[in-house]
Amino acid sequence: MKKLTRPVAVLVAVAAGVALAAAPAAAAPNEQDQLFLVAAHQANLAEIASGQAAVAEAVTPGVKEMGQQLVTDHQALDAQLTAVAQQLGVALPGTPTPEQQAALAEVQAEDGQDFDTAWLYLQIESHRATLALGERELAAGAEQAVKDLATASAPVVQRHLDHALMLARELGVDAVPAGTGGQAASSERPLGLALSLVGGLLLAGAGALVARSHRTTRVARHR
Amino acid sequence: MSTTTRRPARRVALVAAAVLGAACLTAGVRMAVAPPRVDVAPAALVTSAPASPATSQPPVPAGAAPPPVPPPPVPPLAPPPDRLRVADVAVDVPVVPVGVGAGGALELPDEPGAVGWWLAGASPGAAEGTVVLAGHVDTVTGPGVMADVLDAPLGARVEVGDGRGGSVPYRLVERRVLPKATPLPAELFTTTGPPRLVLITCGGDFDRRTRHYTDNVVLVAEPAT
Repeated sequence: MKKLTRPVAVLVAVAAGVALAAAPAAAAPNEQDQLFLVAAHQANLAEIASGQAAVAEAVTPGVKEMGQQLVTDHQALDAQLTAVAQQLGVALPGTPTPEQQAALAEVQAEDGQDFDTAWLYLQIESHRATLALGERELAAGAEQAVKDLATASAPVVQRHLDHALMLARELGVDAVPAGTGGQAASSERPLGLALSLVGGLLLAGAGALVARSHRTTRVARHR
Repeated sequence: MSTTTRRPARRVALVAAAVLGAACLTAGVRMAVAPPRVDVAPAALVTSAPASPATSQPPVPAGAAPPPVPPPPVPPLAPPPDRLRVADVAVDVPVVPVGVGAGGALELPDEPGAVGWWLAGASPGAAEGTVVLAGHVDTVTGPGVMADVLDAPLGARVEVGDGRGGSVPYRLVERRVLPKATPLPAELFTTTGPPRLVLITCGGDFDRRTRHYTDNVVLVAEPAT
């Protein structure tokens, strides 16, 4: 959950590799169609795995419920997608990308409330990436069956994103730790030390004068 | 004769020197042992009229009832903001999306020169809600960008890159100092209400032992033209 910029680039890179390996089909899906099928499929697999993790580990009831919803919805979306890919002869990978797997493992390393928070932000991040994927397909895809998949999945993905955002806002932000170095803080220590020195000297001087005047008074009396 | 007149004067001088010395010593020691501090005075700009629009929806022409369509189209995804500019203090830095980590703490970018945009908050240019940006005042590797932003005067222009090559202008209207001993107010993170920008960082006393500041400093900015 620390580096938030990776998912899209990674999805595209992996999808490009797999799409190139796919056999040419009877119909004419362009490169973007193939990219979308592979990336959206891997996104479905990642969301199903995420959903199962939340059902098993989440402590917030709303997060657990959302996990189950993800499993149900993304299984349905993926069934439609797999059928279209098969028709078009586009081979699909069997697992989420290594980055998607690593991101989920990072979330699963957390416990309790921290798991729920990390899980929600992973969903916000990944569903934003999936929406962007659909937008690119609608803009640059060629095959109508694939574009229809993008159109049909968008409201479901948007609903998940809105749900995750709502739950994340409910959990809120408890702290903003935004300073650990101390360089921005100005210290009065040097001035304080200088002032202490002046004070000390004044006191010592006054003391010395008192001592001397005592001595001279005594000497005067003796005379 | 001369000794009797000199003596009270000397005594007064001695007492004065002793008192002054003690005062200097006390103040000096107090200053020397005080923690270093980012001193920010809370302040607000008095605005004649709040710039909040009464209605954020575009006017709908009368009689233009939309035909029943199957599913409402999904609005295009607003890209994350990508830049923060405060020309008054020569700040022009990247913005990256951030989430919330362990303990409910906002995860700031590692680089002291970048600012984080809270992923669950409003997007710049949205009709309502608060855009939340947060950045380091300093890190173990050096001063952070917010140390400069804190120097911006009230009324300063703040621009947030909208991720599409444009930017959304704001005007700094308020500086708040919030002790960390009490939780951050939820209203800072609202996604409803008038559009605004808040910039969050740290201030107050720096505890050298725990390496943390005592306060959060919040700069509030309103949409500008």
